[in-house]
Amino acid sequence: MHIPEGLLPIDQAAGWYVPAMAFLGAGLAKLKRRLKEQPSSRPLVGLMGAFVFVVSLMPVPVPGLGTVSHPCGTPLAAILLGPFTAVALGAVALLLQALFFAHGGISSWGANILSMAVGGSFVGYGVYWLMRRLGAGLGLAAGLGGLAGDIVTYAITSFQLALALHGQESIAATWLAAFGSFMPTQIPLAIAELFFTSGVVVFVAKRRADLLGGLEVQP
Amino acid sequence: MRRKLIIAALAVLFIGAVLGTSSEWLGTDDTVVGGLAQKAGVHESQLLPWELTGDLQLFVFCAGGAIAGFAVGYYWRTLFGEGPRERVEEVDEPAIADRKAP
Repeated sequence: MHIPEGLLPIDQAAGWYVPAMAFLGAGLAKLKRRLKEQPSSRPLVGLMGAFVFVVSLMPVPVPGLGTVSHPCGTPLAAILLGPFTAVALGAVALLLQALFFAHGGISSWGANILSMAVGGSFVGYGVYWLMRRLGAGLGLAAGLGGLAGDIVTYAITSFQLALALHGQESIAATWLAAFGSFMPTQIPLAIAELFFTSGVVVFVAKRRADLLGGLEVQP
Repeated sequence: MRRKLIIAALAVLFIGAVLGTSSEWLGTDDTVVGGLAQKAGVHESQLLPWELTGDLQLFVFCAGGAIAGFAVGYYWRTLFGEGPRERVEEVDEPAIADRKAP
């Protein structure tokens, strides 16, 4: 999901910045309010911030295929803290990665925020919320949120790449080629993210249900 | 105990499968994104005045991973720790009291 520097035309890069900054502004405002009103949520915010940073930077190998890719971590953060707060955490992680870790770029920061931070958080949280409304168990709902957030992140990245690099081909064909190339590596990682997200949410609900009462998860 | 054994067995299986796969282990950021860019005749550019070359990249990744790992561990213990410090203090306190006793 890390689109590097220079691949997006400047007008498209700027265009992705506009909604990304709107989401980031709303996320930072929500985060500030949360820390003021619920100081007890600070450790969970710190934990999720560090977690999203390290997980989305970590290249995870896929045995058999011989390729590596990154999980997202933002669906879990969104389920535990709410999607807007997760957007803020994801955006900060992506900025650090672009500045110091040669992953992503400054010009592509807006596009990367929209795919991993906004897409991963809102789709992950949305699927979790919907599954809970449909009566799914906490672990299943959280796991499917993690899976969907991961896949959608790469679907959005594929669209951004297709829009920028389709050349003579149609955008749809380029999107399909990009998404189809991501998926063999990403599906195993999304399944791993399903189990991890499910496990952590269930663990938090069992060990510290008090943390979740004032937050976004209702066990 | 059983859960720990299952996790350990899965970890060993995963590492074995990784080591058993012969590959260059290229990332999808390189293969997919790089492939599309090459096809479109577009190249990555460098906007920042610094670049991670050689072992500097290894150092930065190790340092970043360590700092983030410490942060995760610290906050995890704050939230979910069973109070190992308290347990140590419980064990140590009588001994300290004994030492101070005349």
